[in-house]
Amino acid sequence: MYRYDEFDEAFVRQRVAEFREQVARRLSGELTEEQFKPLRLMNGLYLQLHAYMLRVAIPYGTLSSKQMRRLAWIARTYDRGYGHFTTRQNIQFNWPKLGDIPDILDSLAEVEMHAIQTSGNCIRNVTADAYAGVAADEIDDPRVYAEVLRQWSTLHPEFSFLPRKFKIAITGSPHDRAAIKVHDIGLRMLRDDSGAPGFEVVVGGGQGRTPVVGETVRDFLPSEHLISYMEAILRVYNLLGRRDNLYKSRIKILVKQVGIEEFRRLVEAEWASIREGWELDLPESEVERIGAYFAPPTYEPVELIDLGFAQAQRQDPAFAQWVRCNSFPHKETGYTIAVISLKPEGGIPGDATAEQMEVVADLADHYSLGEIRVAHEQNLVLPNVKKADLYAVWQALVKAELATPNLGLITDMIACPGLDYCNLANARSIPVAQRIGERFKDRDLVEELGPITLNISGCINACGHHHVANIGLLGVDKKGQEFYQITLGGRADEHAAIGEIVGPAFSYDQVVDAVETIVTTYRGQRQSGEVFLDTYQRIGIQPFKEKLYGTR
Amino acid sequence: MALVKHGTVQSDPWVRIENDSLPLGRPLLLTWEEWQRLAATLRHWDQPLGLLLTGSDSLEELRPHLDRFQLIALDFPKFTDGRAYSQARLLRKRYGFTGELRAVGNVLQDQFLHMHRCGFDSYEVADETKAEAWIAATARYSGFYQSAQRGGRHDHDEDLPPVVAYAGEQPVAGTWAY
Repeated sequence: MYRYDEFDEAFVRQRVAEFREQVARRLSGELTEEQFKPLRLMNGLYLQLHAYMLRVAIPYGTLSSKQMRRLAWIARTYDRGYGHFTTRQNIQFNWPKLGDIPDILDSLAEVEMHAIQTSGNCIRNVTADAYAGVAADEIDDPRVYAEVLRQWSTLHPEFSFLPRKFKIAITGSPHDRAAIKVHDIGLRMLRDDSGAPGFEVVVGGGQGRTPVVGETVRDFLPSEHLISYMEAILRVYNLLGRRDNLYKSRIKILVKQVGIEEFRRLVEAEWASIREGWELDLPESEVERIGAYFAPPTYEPVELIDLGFAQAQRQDPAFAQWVRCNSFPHKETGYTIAVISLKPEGGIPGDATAEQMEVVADLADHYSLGEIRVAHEQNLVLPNVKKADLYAVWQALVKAELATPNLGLITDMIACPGLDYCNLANARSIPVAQRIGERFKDRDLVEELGPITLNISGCINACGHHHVANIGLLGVDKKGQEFYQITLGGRADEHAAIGEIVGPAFSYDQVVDAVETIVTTYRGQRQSGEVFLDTYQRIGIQPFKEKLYGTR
Repeated sequence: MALVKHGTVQSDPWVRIENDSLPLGRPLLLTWEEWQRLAATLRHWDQPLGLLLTGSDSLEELRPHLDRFQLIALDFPKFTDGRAYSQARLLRKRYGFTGELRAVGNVLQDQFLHMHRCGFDSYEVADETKAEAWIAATARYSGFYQSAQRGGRHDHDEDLPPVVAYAGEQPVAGTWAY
């Protein structure tokens, strides 16, 4: 993991001191809420329905056990004993008091954490594949460049007042687990013919009220030019992006407006000027300095055939199911990536109690080289577990109610906080997720259904990623009543697609039945070996419409 | 309004055109439109000239005229409108403008630092007490990840003068990520 040096340490401390003074000016009344707003937003502090909400950055979703314990302590000391892991790999605390915020930030700084740029119209926390550095299918480790981008974007003097927020995601695998095509900039690491590392650069993707799958602005960007090329894109956007309408200010609108060809021309021209005018590319020494922090750990040699692991699965079907559902191939023989689902049936997606965070921290120390990841699907990951240790890990997770075997299955839902917390929401998300979890609590059935993503957003801003779910639910307001519009066929991977609306929205009471009807239709129609998306793509939306609305 | 420059409150000698009459004997601040209209008339003007730009004025068009101006004022119509940060950096780094670069409009003390780092060296603010805030803001951090105009992570060895002492030196080149 990246470790702060004196420079990072001083920087974060000075940032807290600055915000402490700004909070004092707000509390004394010197700053109005309107004046305070952009300042608090730059420090991850929102004002929600009932209270302030603090969003803490977890850069590219990477946490140490020590940091996780500190998050647990903060949840217990300053909040109501829990935290909420988000789709941007961050954590949110829902009930902090304004006066406590500087102390919370100081406490975070002690473990090399902060809340800088987790909101506001700036470059947000850079996200990455949660399995970075350990996945068997990885081409390159994206964390080094994610850290470079974190440093480059932190308090950037030119790009802190953009037309709108700006999100960058990066993946190092051909299979995209970071949803890069629905980000303002998506980076996919690859190698050119000579084996030199670089990126495919995707631009203008996004969700919200105008969902767009990003387009490739450059097929191959040599990695040493990453920063200058990012500067070129950001400068074009900063100067030309719309500022007259909040809903038309994202880069995706600019790209659509001028077209990808013209946008590419603008960026390439700006990039050429940057490169001829002054040096700002990434020196090899800096990549090496940062890269050293992400050198692979020393893996202990393991028995090639571990009889105990196989035996535990034979003897304990529940463990076997969890292994089938929640582990992912590790690049090192004898190791596995273990995913801790934060989606217990009937629970709140992404929530973890302080006690659960501590259990995960302890497990990381004992079994995963002290490291934890946050996945954008709102789950936690132990990236370095020996298969021989997996049974012990699972038993501890069962005790902590963290062993739901549903990774990538229908109950592994992404849900925004919805009307229970958020002042933008039209409808509740959490109770719908809980009711779907209850409806699909037969774990064997859920596994038998195969991979299905089901995401829920409480409003058109789409924080719950409903557009890119196989089954997407969008909360809408109809004359003061909560209704849910359903989309089908969306996906967030390398074949990213926006879901298609199936028909008129369903009421709060009807929506879970409607989801079940969709699932039943799929089961009735699917052929051997098909997952939900295969069946959907083969038969189209019509059979689902007929089952949901009749043949009228 | 007050003018904060190099950490002190200073009087502002610059004047605008009023009632279509050119003020004699004073530094004159023009909009881009006024400059285009009056360039010929002002060919032998013996006082300093300044230019007031909006976020949508083209720096490329202005480039050939740049050496006529001792001051360029960039407008922040709202503090959330960040186009002038890009304009400032382009003027300083790409076009080599070494005159006074002034922030006007909705200039808040909490933005001083970003402006300063982008190359602004004077600020039109609502009240005079802001000079102290400017000094505090620009002295807040001991370094930044981007070297920008000054104070970057990799500038440690370059024996920079203290940030508040900045008074129009040549910009410091960044080693990476400027």
